[in-house]
Amino acid sequence: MELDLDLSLSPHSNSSNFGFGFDLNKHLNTKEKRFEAMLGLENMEEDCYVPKPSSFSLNGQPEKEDEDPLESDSSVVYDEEGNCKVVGWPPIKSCMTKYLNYRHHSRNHPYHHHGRRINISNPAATMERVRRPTSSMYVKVKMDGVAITRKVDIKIFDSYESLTNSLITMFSQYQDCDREDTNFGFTFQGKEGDWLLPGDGPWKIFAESVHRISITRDCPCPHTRLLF
Amino acid sequence: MDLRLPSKVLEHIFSFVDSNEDRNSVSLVCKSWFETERLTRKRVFVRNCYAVTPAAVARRFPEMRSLTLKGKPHFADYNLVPDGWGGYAWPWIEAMAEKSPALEELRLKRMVVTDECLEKIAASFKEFKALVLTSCEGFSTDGLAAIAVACRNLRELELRECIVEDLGGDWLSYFPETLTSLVSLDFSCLDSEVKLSDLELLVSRSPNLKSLKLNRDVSLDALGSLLRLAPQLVELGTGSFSDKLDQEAVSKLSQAFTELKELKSLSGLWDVLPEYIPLLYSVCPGLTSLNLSYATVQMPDLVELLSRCSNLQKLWVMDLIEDKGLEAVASSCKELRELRVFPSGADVDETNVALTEQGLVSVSEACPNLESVLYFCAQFTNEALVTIARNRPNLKCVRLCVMEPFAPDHKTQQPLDEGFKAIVEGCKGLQRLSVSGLLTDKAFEYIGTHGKKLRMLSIAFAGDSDLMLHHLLSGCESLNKLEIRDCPFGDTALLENAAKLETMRSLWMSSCGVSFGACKLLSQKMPKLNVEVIDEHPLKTRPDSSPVEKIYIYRTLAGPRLDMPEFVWTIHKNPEIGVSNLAIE
Repeated sequence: MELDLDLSLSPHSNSSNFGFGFDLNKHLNTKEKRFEAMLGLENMEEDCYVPKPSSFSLNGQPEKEDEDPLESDSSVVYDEEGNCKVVGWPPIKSCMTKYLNYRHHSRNHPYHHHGRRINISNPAATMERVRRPTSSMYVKVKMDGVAITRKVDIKIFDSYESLTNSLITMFSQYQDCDREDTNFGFTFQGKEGDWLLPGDGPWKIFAESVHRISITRDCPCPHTRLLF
Repeated sequence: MDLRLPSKVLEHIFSFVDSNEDRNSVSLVCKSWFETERLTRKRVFVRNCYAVTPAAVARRFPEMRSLTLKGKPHFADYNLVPDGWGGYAWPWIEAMAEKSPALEELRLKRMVVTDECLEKIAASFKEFKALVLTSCEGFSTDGLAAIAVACRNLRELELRECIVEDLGGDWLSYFPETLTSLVSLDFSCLDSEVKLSDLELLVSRSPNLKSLKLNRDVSLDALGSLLRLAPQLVELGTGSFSDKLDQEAVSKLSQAFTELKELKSLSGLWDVLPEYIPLLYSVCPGLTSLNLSYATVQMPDLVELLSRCSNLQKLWVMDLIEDKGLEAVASSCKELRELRVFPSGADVDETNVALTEQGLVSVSEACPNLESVLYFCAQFTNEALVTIARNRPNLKCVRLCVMEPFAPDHKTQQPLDEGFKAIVEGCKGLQRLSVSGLLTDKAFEYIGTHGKKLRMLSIAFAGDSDLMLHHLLSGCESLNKLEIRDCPFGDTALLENAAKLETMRSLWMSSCGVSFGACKLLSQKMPKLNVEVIDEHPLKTRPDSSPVEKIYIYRTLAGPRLDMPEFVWTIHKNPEIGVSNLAIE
């Protein structure tokens, strides 16, 4: 996947040639294109593949990617609905985004559709899991081999299956794995620190007490296979 | 003739010097002034907890009674700093417990505070009076219980936007019956319900209680009974304002509000229903500060409320206020000093389109004391910025967030360079600036040329080349904190202006084009800087030309820190050692 940018060095760089400059104005007309180019999002496939932005060697040529090209860089991640989002943009503090997300997901909220333009990017998925949570409950999810621990809001799911499916979807977009062939093992850590398997208890109780989720892939041990 | 003043006289004179900026100047005059000043300083501010060691601070200020510390870089507020980065309060608390046991106040911002820390505070500082934690994390409500039970002279317990592991509301019941000294209590960020009877008992035995900020779980009914117990409140943060109440309860609540004769600050108001807005009318004329960030009412209701707030100085509100509402604010709130307008939707797509640049222009025209602005908006124009600068040359803080990255002037399709030029040129006292929208290197040339008083600058998705950084580092004389993300500059400007970095508190750069080699060079050239590389996807071999994800550079007297996680590397001063990750297990 090429980055369609002009890699000319900045006019004022000296002979050390460390930096690269790119003049977005030269090649791109609209702000959408600039944004996409910045993050390498042009020529985007449906699955929202985002290459790591530019390892450039001294002479300005892109280096060979020596690692998984699907690994996202620090600026772009995926939310639970699988949409590309820029980390930390717009710059709103987490207590406020937590509140705004609660309003977004709350179908019964009095001001959900009140006279403003609302653009829900994936209406089917949103309707499926819209409910009125009393508060968010973010739980850390760590998958084998993925450096970044993600967080998901447990309250927006209503069953083990919806949770595990969403998690698999979320991580599949990072990793070059075929979700059909891969076996995923889920274990959950409760508040007391004990590790449980999905289905060990009723969903409701689980949702109140889960603290952390760990996912293994292709693990040979039968007891960690997905139970569903 | 000995012209030196006796130290007792000096001490007396210095006791009138309050501001730490002045005290810092005083301590530079000569050795004896340094000594006298340090022995009399009671309030110590350390704005970067890694700039100096706890032991050094304790040693220098033996009479310290109040310590304020800041930890993580500001961009941690927006999830740009990975978990586990650092900012641990423990080493400070441990050191102070040993060397400054008379400590009375601890104010921490963006630090990791554990239950162990809170227990240590409770056990070590017999005269402890005030704990204020802002944007902190790492502790649970158990830690709060430890503070509550042990600090017999507690005056302030404030948790502002902290992430707390909420194990239930019991912690509140640990305040002993003998505790009557409470002045300020803020638990607005907690999730779980506290027992109303415990809260009522606490409030009724706290005659000095001036500030009470409840969490969302405190019902409207409960609010009524609490207000009746504390009519002397100056600051109130309500709980959720959306429960359905019967007529009798509503009128009792209304009556309770009218009894709040001293109220100056109001916040909370989560999900307030329009029919409850009139309950607040009685307190409006006295309000100087109103936080409607969670008040999801529409413009007409907001206008009804705000048109009664003639003394308002600080207003935080959502973009539901729209341009029309801001016009009403402009005509009613002539004392306004600070305005913040937040988006009502979590995404760019959900921004309220009835709020445009015009809203801010109206307020800038009509409010002569306006000096601080934070404004989230879908789009902006150069013309509006020019007008705002002309109307309000006294602006000290301008934080404009055009929600769409790279958005140009929506009327002319030009970059917003000229608009920001007007701001820095016209507002000569500008100390803080956040820019957004489409910006070329020219914008930064203007900022470098005119922003002479600028202390803090935040930049995202802007500029074209190294020139942008060069203009800023070489031009902005007062620059203290610079944070930049997703901008296309490389190494040149950074290396050419390396000396500047020692005059600044810190520099944050993420997703820019700075190479690993430049980080090494910089660190080797500048002994008093810590150059920290944050990289969650490190390459197996790291060539000098590879760009780094995030860099945090700060001046320090303490040398490289020893508490880094595995994804943070510091560059050793000795090129032979190279890069190390000095983590303590």
